[in-house]
Order: sequence, then C-alpha cells, then structure tokens
Amino acid sequence: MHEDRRDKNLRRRLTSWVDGEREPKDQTLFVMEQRPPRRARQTEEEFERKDRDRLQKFFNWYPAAAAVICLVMVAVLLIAVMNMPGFGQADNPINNEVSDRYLKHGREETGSENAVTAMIVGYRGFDTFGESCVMFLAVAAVMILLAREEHRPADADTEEPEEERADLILEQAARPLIPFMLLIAAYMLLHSETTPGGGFSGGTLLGAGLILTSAAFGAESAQRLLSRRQYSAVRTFGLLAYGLLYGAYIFIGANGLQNHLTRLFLLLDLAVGLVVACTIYGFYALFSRGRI
Amino acid sequence: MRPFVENLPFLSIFLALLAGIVTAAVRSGRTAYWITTGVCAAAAAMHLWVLEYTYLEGLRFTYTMGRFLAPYGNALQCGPLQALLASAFSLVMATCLAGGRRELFQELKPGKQRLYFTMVNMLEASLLALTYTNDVFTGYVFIEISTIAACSLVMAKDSGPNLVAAIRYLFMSLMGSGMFLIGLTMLNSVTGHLLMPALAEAVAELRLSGDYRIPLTVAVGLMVAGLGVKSAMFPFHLWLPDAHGGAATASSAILSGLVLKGYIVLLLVLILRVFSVELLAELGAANVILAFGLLGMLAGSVFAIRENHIKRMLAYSTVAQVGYIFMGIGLGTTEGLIASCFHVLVHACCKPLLFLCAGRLSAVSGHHKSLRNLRGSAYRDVGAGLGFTVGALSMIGIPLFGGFVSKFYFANAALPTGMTALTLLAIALSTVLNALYYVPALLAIWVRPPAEDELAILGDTHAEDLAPDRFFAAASLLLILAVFILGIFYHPITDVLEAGVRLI
Amino acid sequence: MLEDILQNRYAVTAVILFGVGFANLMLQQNLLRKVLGFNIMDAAIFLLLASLGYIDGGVAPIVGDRGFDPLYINPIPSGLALTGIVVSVAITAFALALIQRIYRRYGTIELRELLELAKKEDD
Repeated sequence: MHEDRRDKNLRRRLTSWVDGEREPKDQTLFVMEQRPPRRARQTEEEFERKDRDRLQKFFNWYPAAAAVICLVMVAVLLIAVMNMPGFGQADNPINNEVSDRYLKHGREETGSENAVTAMIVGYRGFDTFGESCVMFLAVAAVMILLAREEHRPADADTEEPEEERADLILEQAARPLIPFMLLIAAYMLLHSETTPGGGFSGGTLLGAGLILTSAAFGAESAQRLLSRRQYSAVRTFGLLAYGLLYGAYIFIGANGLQNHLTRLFLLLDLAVGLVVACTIYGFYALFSRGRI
Repeated sequence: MRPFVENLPFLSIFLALLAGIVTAAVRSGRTAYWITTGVCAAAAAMHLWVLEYTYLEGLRFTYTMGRFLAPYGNALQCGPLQALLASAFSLVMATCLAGGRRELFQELKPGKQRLYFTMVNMLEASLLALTYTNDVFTGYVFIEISTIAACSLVMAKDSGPNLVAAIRYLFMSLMGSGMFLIGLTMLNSVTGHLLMPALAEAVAELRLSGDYRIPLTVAVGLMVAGLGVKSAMFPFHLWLPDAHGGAATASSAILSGLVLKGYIVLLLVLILRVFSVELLAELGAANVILAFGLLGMLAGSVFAIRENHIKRMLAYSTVAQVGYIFMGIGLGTTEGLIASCFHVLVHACCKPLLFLCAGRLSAVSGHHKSLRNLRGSAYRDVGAGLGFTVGALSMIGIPLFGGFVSKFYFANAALPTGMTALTLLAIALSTVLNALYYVPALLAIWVRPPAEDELAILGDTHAEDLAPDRFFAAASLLLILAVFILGIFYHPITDVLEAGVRLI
Repeated sequence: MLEDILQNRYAVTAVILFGVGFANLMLQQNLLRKVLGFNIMDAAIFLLLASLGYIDGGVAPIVGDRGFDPLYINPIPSGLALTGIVVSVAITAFALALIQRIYRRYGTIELRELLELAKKEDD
C-alpha cells in the first residue's frame, strides 16, 4: 500500500518533469520544516503575467545597454577614423595599382570610358550580378508579402483600395513628360557604356516613366503598356539573359578561350536596365495596389 | 584551358542563381520544388567531384570570374575545405527540402510556393558563394542576398508571430551587415584591396610595420562582430528563437543548420586567409570571441532548459552550438579552427535532423509543439522518434555519435592553450546542461501519456498527417547515417579538413 | 586632435552619422524609425566610401580624349557605393513591405506592443 503510493508519486513526478514543469526537489528533508504545498501547475494567467514581467524587464534594461553599446561604438569608430589615411591625399593606400589599372586600361579592356562603369560591369561584374539578384529577390519577397491572391480578390485583411481618378494637373503634366522620359531612358540605356552608373540610371528612369503612367492615367493604362504576364516575362528574361551572358563571359574568360562576344557590355547593361526598371515599377505597383 | 572540373564551383553558383530566377516564373509549386531539390542535389555531386579533385591532387585553385586576374577582378578560391563544406551544405539543403516537403505544401499558399523556392535557391547560391568567395565585397553582396532570403523563409508561413519574428530578424541582420560593411570599408581604406590574397599580404605588411594599427584593429573587430551578430553569437541571439522556432519545419532546418553556417564559414575563411590566427591573438580579438563563445555555450543551454516549446528549445540549442564554434575560433590555434570546421559539419547534419523529426512528431500530434502534448508521439512515427533520439544523443555528446567527436576535438585543441581549464570546464558543464534538456525531451516523446490524453491528441490529428511520409523517412535516414559517419568514420573527414586548412 | 578631425572631416561626419543611424536602429521602438535608422547608417557608409576615393584636385574618372591626362579620383569606392546603394534600396523596400503587412495585421508598428500581441497569438 505504502509502496504503491510512493510509486505513484514517483510516476507523477517523473511525468511532470518530462512535461517540462520541473519542480525543485522536495527539500523538507534538509530544512526540517514544512513548506506550504506548491501547486504543481502554474495557471495560465500566472504564466502569462510572468512572461509579461520578463518582457518588461527586458525592455527596461535593453535601452540602457543599447545606448552604451552605441556610444562605445561611436567612440571607437572616431578614434579609428582619426588615425585613418588623410582625406584627399594621392599617396593613400587605397590609390594603388588596382585603381591605376581601372583608369589606364579600363577603356580598352571593357570598352567603357567611365572607369566606375568599367569596374562595376567588367572587373567586378560578379558583384553587380549579385546585386541584380538582390533586386530580383526583393521584388519576390515583396510579392510574397503584398501580392493578392489572383482568384480571391476579397481577402480578409486586404481590402481593395478604390481606384481613384488622378487629378488634372498630374495628368496634363504627365502627358508631355512621359514620352521624353522614355526617350531619355532609351538613350541612357543605349549609351550605358559611357554614362555614369551604366544601366542602373537608365533603368531607373524607365521604371519612373512606368510609375508616372500608372499614377497619372490609372493602373489600367499602365497595364496596357505592360501587362502582368509581360512584366513577369520581362523581369525573368532580363535577369536570365544577364545571368547567361555573364556566365558565358566568365566561362570564356576563366578558361582563356577566344572571345566572340562583341559589345557584350552593352547587352549586359541593357539587361541590367530592364531588371532595374522592373524592380522599381514592381515595388510601386505592389505597394500601391498589391498586384502588378 | 583549365580542367573542366575547376569550372564546377562557378557553375554550381550560377546554376542555383538561375534556378532561383526560373522558379519565380514557373507556374506550379511542385515543379519549382523539383527544380530546387534537383539543383541542390546536382550541386552536391559537383562539389564532391571538386573535393575528389582537390584532395587527391593536394591542390587549390583560384577561379577568375572573367578575364581579369586577382587583384583586379572577382575570383573564387577553391580547396578541399571549401569543397567539403559546400557539398555537405548542398546535400543537407536537398535533404531538408525532402524532409519538410509535406508540411511545406500544406502551409504555404499555392500562389506563393514558387517564390518560396526562389528564396531557397538564392539561399543555396549565397551559401556556396560565401564558402567559395575570394573577394570580401562579393561576400558582402551575398550576405545581403542571404539576409533577404532567410527573412523570407521565416515569414513565408503566413502568421502574425512569424511576421514579427521576421522583422526582428531583419533588423538584427541589418545591424550585422552594416557593421560588416563599415569594417570592410575601413579595411579597404588602410590596405587598398578587396581580394583576399592581396588583402592578406597588405594586412601582414601592416602587422609588421605597425602602421594604421588602430583602424586595422577596429576594422577586424567590426567585421568579426558583424558576422557574429548575423550568426547569432551569444549576446546577439535574441531574434533567433522566434525566427527559427516559428518558421515551417523545412525553413527552420535550413535556417538553423545552414544559413548561420554560411556567415561562420566566411568568418573562418577570413581568419584563415586574411587576418591570420596570429594577428587575431595579437589584437586580443581571439580572447573576446572565446569569452562570447563560452558564455553562449552555457547561456543557450540554460535558456533551452526553460523552454517547453520543442522548436524553440532546439533554436536555443543552436545558440549553444554556435557558442561551441566561436569557442573553437577563439582558442586562437589552427587546431581550434579545425575543430570548429568539424563542428560546423556535425551541427549542419544534426540540427536539421532534429528539426525535421520534431516537425514530424508535432505533425502526428495534431501540430502541437509543447513537450506536454508530444508525449508518446514517437510511437506514432517510430522513424521520427529514432531520428530525434539520434540527434539528441549526438548533441549531448555520446560516443559513436558525431557530437562526441567534435567535443573531443575541441577538448584536444584546448590543451596546448592557456585557457585549458576554463574551456574544458565549460565543455563539461555545457554537456551536462545539454543532457538536462535533451533527456526530458527524449523521455517525453518515448513515454506513453495516460490514455485519455492520447485520445485527445489523436482527436486533433489529421489522418493524412498520420500516414507514413516516405520523403521524410529517406531524409531522416540520410541524416542519421551522416551523424553516425561523422561519429565513427571521422578520420577521413578530419584528414580532409586538415588538408583543407593547410591548403587554404 | 583638432587637426586630425579637420583632416578627416568627412570620415568623422560619416562615423557620427553611422552612430546616429545605429542608435536609431537599435533603440527605436517604432519600426519605421528603425528603417530610417538603417538608411542613415547606410548613407553614412556611402559618405565614408565617397570620401575615401577623393583625391585633391581630381576629376571624375571618365576617361575621354582630352588630349592630356588629368588626375582622376579613385573609381573603386564609387563603384562599391553604387552597389551598396542598390542593395540598401532593395532591403528598404523589403522592410517597408514587411511593416505594411504587420500594420495590416496588428494595427500597430510599435515593437513593444507587437511583441506582446504576437506572444498572445503564439500557442
């Protein structure tokens, strides 16, 4: 009988330990006084309150600790910066053979007069490809977050914003502006080898033109210009073309093969331009109406 | 014309990136799934080939990305170490996708599945690029790719707490990458280079001449701290439990087992190739890393003990395991780094196994996640129960399992340093703490609850969840095998690691 | 001391800005302000990069047929800043989308309230 009860007690304690409610060991043997009986289980409220206390405590010490970290960080950085090479001096370590080569041979090696463009598309093109992937990825992530389900227009927490007519001034101002924007964008893209920023600036302008169309004449007219399917195709095609061309370029260069790809950097810049334009237009469309 | 096999690291990175682009455009989630898994498996095979080539020939090679040799253009650097890590990562990635397959298709909205796989592909590409890169700035770009993709994995399961966890994760990551970028800028300003070999030379020169001592120290500190923040080094781990504990099973497995490792591998490579172990010790950075590592080992386990939610418990255990890795780095010896590399491998196999099995166990218990509701769940899917047991025993460090070997190597590496007593004590204490939460978890899943509780749980469970899951079984079998291989036949692997560190 | 500051005035400004941004990123409870903090931080880094590349008397590195060879500024930091800016734009967009989503869900963007709400919803 007594054995049985102990057994049950043991079993209960084991199960409660296993369930994660580890009771401290019964210490009455050592202390020689009867502790008030403890409830085995915390009630939900108690648990919640404890949790909130923990959160509160966290918020109490967090700002102080963070402020200290920030101050220390600024102090350390200031000391470091004051000991850095002086501003604007030609003999700083950063002005070494690498930048020399970009300036001296950039033009013949990549065909770009602008050394910055030569660097980002040619010498360090892999970084730029990675950067285009970041943009692509950001649009995909925003799509996961904000895109509405195609077949269920009425979502629970996403109500359809009313399509409102843009005001007259915007519409009249946009009408002459848009063709010029697209024209300049095309010019910048086609001359991206020499203009600063390569395909990025041209692509941004192209995207801005699309955004202006959408803002001034409503989503439908922008969709007539670039439907959802076309958008997706252009976006995929731009980056895919960039990746394949650039991959071929790397393969040829690394293996020392004969290079038959002429005017490659122009094509790369065009592809970058498409990706950039799609990215910023995609951001606008997704943020403003939840679909392309 | 170089041998074709030398193209494979570059090809695998590009394959993953292109697969990411293509999966965003395909219509069905299943197609995207098969493309992604196929690419990961193919990448694993490619890297195994590269491993064979580099290890047997005893060489390493630099692959120029384009015509321009270092230090002018981007490049990849490949040796046995990188190839081994990359093949392990790719294989585990494919396994995670297989093991979490059923839950993925249940939990993701059909319209968004393909985008999820885009993220996975990009994550795979960034892992490979972070492992192979020879260029610090490329490292930064791929760190950011990895940041966006990882946060997207967290928030893909569309629930409120996950969104909050994702934004906390994002802000913490941004802090880390900001620190890394400003450190990188300073390093560039005092050395003038971005490619690792040239940087290493310049850093070695600065070390000898003593010029720009303070900026160099601060730059090294910031880069290490930035990568530390991103890989959940102890005081910066606050975002991790929510992010890893709340995500879908496959996401948790990938995030915990692989994504953190990408940053850690970049840090290891930076230390081995650019800063050098000696410089780190000289600047005092090693001791700081060691202290954070030791604290993380203990604190992570203490937090895990207090946790009842099985996935959050595993997430806290990740904090502890990352602490082990930083401890190895902080020992300031090559042996310590090798032990860390080995632990990266062990943890990359163990933690996905645990997460996958935990996900499966919770699926057969009506998607409850607290240990109380998982009682006796191992009997409902014995494979998952066995997998969880193997993973947990390996984490505790029982001989014959992978975790034991890495602890053994850590202990060995600690012997010649001045920190022997402290390190050994911390390892012993952390082992006890590990046992304190893994043993109750094991008991919980293997001890049958009272009949009425079990019936209640079974009432919550769907019939399709109880049906055996072949993909999961295959995945967990593979990972169990990996844990045993790392625990029993570890000599070839450590030989490769040693050769890799020597050749790096 | 003052001379050091003057000599590296851009870098000093950049570092102080970095501190401001960093503090905002860490301390603010409002998610939008955190994003602003992140942007300030990144802008500071780009300022630092731009100041590193400058050489006194240098001109923009557009190599044309001028007939003579002027002193150009260093193109590398400019290129890095360009890459960094694009990355930072992409991440800002992602963060804002996440915040918009959170706001639709919870009706608040105060991190403190969000954590409590999320805790309640979890389990």
